Amino acid sequence: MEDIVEAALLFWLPFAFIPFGLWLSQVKSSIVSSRIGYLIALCGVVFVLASPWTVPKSPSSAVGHLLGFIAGPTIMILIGLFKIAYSGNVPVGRLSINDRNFGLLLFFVGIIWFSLMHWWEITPVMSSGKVNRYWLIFLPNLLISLTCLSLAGGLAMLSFGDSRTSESKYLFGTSLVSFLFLICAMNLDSSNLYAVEFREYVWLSIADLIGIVIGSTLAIICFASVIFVYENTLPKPKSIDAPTNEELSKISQVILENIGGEE
Amino acid sequence: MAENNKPPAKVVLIGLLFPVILIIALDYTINGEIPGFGIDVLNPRIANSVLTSFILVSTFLLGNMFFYGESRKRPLAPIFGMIIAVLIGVFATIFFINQGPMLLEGNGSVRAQLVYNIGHTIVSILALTLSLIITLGILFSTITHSLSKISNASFFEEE
Repeated sequence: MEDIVEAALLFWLPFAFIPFGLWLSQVKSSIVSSRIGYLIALCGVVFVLASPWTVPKSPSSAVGHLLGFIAGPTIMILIGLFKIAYSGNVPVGRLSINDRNFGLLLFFVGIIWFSLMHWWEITPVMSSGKVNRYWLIFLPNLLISLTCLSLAGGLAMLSFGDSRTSESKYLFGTSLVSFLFLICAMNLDSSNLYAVEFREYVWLSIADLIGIVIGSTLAIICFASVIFVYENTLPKPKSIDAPTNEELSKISQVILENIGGEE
Repeated sequence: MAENNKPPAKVVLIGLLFPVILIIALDYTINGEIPGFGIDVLNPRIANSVLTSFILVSTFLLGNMFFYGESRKRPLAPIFGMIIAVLIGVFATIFFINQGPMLLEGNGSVRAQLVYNIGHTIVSILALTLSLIITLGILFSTITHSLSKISNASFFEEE
């Protein structure tokens, strides 16, 4: 089989199955369709993660390689945040203090794991001996967007919330830590990567983020315009007749029967 | 009094952009230019990123259009509109990449560049989504672990 056909069948087709399966799983009218959707998405994930073995020659398999590497710390961070958030003052389903401590442990281990993937020997390296190029896209993008979003989140807490100064400090702290990580990585060589190479990827990531913001905004404008035009072309809904006196008196009676207190 | 100390909403937007400007300024001040790396490398990346994210986000929204159209009597009309938008994006990408090496970032062919663009944008969106989830998770955690502001506010009002 040709390399390109192999890549299409064993990587891109399963990759397309993930959003398709998730989309199908949201069909609420049929439970069977929903379950089939989840199954298709799961199969897609398995094939994508297995791509470094199934299509080792294809450059696209580097995406599957990266997903396999980041799955561990990402899951730890997400479960950790969930446990921390739901061990606080939530009205229902509050978790215990042990869950909070376990969540904190998972979160920090996940963050340290990500950090060591840059600084230590556990960097995602392909079988060719080169660092996975998608990792060099992922990490700068993650750090830049985390710096920006947590700073904006902290400011939003102050701007839109009441007396949220102490809570916003955690977000400012997150922003500062990721910013310092980025600056250190741009000036100090790690075990698998020179600082100058990382600088190039940071600049490319900034270009990338600018492009994503512009492209996504254009798509949303396009989407909104289609809905706007379509809604304008719809005929006006038929208005119903005003209620008769008989109907009004009946409504008044129902309201009277249901309203009232001890007073 | 506390209301007066609140930063205006515009500051939130500035907070979103400020770190990017700071990173560029600091790096340029400390390290100067990167040898062999300039605007001619950055421009194709921005252009490729715009086109690919337009197509991917449009495709995602096309899926949403299905649900929107389902709630209307003529479900095909909005979907048809969105398909046109996606096709315009695809043809624009192919057209620009075919103009020569303008948008080819070290990839030998149009097909290789298209595949690389999709992989690149998916990874970037993944990083962006993860950072958004981390930020929202920390924000939500700090709020649920803080004392209720509503009871305090109503208590002071009553006083």
